[in-house]
Amino acid sequence: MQQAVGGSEAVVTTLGPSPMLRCEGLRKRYGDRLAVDGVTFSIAEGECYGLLGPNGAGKTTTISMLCGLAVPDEGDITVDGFEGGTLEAKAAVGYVPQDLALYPDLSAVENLTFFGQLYRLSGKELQTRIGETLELVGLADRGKDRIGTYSGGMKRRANMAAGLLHRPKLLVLDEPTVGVDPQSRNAILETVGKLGIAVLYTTHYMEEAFKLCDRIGIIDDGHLIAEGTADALIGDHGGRDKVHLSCDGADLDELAAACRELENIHDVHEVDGNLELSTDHGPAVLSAVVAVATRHGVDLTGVEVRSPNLEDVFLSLTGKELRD
Amino acid sequence: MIAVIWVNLRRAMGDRRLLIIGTLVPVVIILITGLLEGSPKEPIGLLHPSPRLLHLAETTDGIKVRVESSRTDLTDDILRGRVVAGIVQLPSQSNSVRADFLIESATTDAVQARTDVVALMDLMAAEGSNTKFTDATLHATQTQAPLSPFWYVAPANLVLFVGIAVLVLSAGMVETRRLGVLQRISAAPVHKRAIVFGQMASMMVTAIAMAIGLIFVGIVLFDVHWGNPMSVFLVVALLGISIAALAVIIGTWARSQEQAIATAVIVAIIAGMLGGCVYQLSTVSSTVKNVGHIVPQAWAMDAFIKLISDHATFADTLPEIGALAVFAVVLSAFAVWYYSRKVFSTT
Repeated sequence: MQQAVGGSEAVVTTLGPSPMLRCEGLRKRYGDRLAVDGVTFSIAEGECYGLLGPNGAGKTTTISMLCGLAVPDEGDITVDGFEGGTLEAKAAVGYVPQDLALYPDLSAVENLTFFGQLYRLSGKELQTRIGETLELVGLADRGKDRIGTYSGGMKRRANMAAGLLHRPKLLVLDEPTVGVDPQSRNAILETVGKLGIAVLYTTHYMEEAFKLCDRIGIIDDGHLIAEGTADALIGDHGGRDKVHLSCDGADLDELAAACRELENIHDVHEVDGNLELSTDHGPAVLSAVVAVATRHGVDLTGVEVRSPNLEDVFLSLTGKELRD
Repeated sequence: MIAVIWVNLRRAMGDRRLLIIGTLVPVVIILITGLLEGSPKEPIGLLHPSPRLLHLAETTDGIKVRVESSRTDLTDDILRGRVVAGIVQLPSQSNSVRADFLIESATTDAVQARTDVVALMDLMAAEGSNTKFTDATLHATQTQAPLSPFWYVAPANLVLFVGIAVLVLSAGMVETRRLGVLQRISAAPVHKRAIVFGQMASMMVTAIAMAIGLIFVGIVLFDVHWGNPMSVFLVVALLGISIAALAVIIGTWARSQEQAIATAVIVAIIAGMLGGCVYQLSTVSSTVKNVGHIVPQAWAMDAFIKLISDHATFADTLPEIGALAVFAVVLSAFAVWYYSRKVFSTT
């Protein structure tokens, strides 16, 4: 359905018949700075879409527009068939902001009661939803405690609960795991993974995007520069496997020349006194490489095979690293 | 909008600062001020004074006078304790001064007042006048309850501390913005105007609730009779709206909670002083009095003084209520405009 085009070209996206979220040609300028420039993407029902990019890439601005917090200068947004920014569209979205947007002096139940009322929930239905949502995020036993007494991870989970309470059709998560301990991070990722609703997940942690998202859009400097499944993106833009040979005081030139003669080795170069080989499939060439090293009397102190990842995709597309 | 009001009130109820500033402090101050000093009195009421007598009374150190419009008013004020004694200057020939000196009973204050009157008559005699005054004691047939010694400090502290407490709530608005809660509320299916009005309405409800609480305390603990209930309610409601609007303006303008609290306290105290919460506006110069009326507190104090001290009717307080209504409308309109412009300007 989508076609990713690398380099600095914009992504050409063929939008599906009735996606849960549809953004077309979004453009937003703050003063002289073009924060988002022609972003187009869509998310199907039940699909988890990751927006991957460094800080300042335009992720939060994109989210602000589709949550109705900012009006795009150009472009269209449709959420569940409703025009973006309308009350109907807002009702379909569950927004989990990057900041901990809860009252610390109120309990989780009181916070959720407030946000539930904003979404027209009341009475027994509201109480039931609060119980279910706290259960979902693993805070059922701490619901009556003030948010201010929670740990950082618990606060993040409570923050997510507020976005899930009204059972949105589209959940928008803006970097929900920033500054969170590994246990809570796993709990958040686990919760997102089992929701089964459309999710827009922004992050600059590539492993999260890889693990969670059905499709990933890579955004940089306000442009969506590539889009597709993680495997497709890595296949198209990630480059080859790297085999890293740590050698102890050997004649690297001779070993490098011998490795170049091997089948399926595309490139060999020296890195900090060691060798790095490019190949289509690292594990397949490993035994041959070790044999060559032994034959040349090189004592290998370490061998590492590394497959390309989204970091490599980003590096390949933008020429810079995905900063933490 | 109800949800926004509810959550703000819930937070306000849990805010110890508000509980202390809004309830405990004013009650203690009313008690201390009322017991130690009582409400400011003008010891001697003057009826039909000659220009010379009035000039001498006003320019003699240690003598405070209040000019009365009729003998009924003078008698009423003496009986109710607003003045301790009265002088009625009687018609006489050009070089003669005749007066009746009225008291209710020979209290210490009344004896002091008589000494002052003797001194005034001596001054007139020294200028060549034939002076004579006659003592008269009023019959203790009170038609109205005597004024509580707290009749002035109770409303003054109500107006002052409702102002301080509600304006301090503006810090909560800054916090709501800083935490990102406002952004989250804005992402919900809620109209922006409901958010603004919700913020303002919660402060208004807090102001009215505090004022009603202090009125109740004034009745129970300090025996203050607040006067016409409809007028009192309207004064409290319109003052509450005005202060809530001012709080929204401060909360919108301030960049930090500390800035909001500092500004709120300063604005509330200045407005309270200008509005006659510290000194009665009737005792200050007309310029200061006129300047004071640029704040709603002054109109509220005028209304309360009329209602408590003069037993004013609803119709009597209509000018003050009208002025407060103008403040409420103008300040609210500005607050809504300013909040919408500044807080939602990123959209």
